[in-house]
Amino acid sequence: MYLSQLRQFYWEARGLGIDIVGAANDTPETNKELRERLDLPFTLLSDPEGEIAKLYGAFHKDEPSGRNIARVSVFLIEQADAGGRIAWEYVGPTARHRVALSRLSEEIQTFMGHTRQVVSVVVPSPWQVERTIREFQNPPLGLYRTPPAEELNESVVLVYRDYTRELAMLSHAEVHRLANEGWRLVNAVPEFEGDVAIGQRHVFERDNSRSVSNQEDSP
Amino acid sequence: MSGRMTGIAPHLPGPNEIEGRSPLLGGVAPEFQMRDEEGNFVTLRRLIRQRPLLLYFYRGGW
Repeated sequence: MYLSQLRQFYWEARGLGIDIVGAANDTPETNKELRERLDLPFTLLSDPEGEIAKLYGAFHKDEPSGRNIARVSVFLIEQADAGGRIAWEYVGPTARHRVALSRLSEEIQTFMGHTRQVVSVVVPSPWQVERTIREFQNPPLGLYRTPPAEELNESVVLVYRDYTRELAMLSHAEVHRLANEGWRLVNAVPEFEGDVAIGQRHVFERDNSRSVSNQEDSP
Repeated sequence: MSGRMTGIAPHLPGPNEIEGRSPLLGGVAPEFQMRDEEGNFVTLRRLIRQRPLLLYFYRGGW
């Protein structure tokens, strides 16, 4: 997943009873601009020296810049009066290893003790993937603005292109994974952005009562 | 469905597949203090006072 996917997922997470914060080694000013540009409903925290990422074992020295940056990672942390422990973590060996939203949703629902679980995966059409890549460089009016021009160099655009394609492939892999792990496909419907069909949303369901009963931190 | 997906970022490896990293799973989450967008300090303690938290170290401004 990447940051803008959490714009919508945040509300699902709040509905499940958890909060989300982002963190990166940028300044509060940069985070403020990013949050406004992406219209994010959650806080972005500043870890400029990567000290907090280090604490979480999610830190490495970027080559060749030498900057300290976090590995892309997520930590699901219990509420304080439940112990404040890390209930689930994913730390990507490279920035290309990103957890799918559907996997994240599954882990959160299990953690919160839900037995009937529902996740969905949007598989973008190849056309939509290429359109997303084009629009990163040239967004039509009304879409979220691109990063400032000085950040939008060729390597950023190429990285964004690769990530966008990989996330599309990850969505296919997720559909395979969920089907193979016993989730039931209950619906597959076109996904729209306005009146444009951008792909297919696959909705999966499962009854997880046996696995959830093994959770130590169920309420 | 069939077909081998090639060239994708591999399936989700566990966190302890990173060389030199011990999993933090099950341990108390390290306390921290970080500034929000307004420059105010935010602590983990305050964030998890009322509900669990997903902490996401992100890359990429999109």
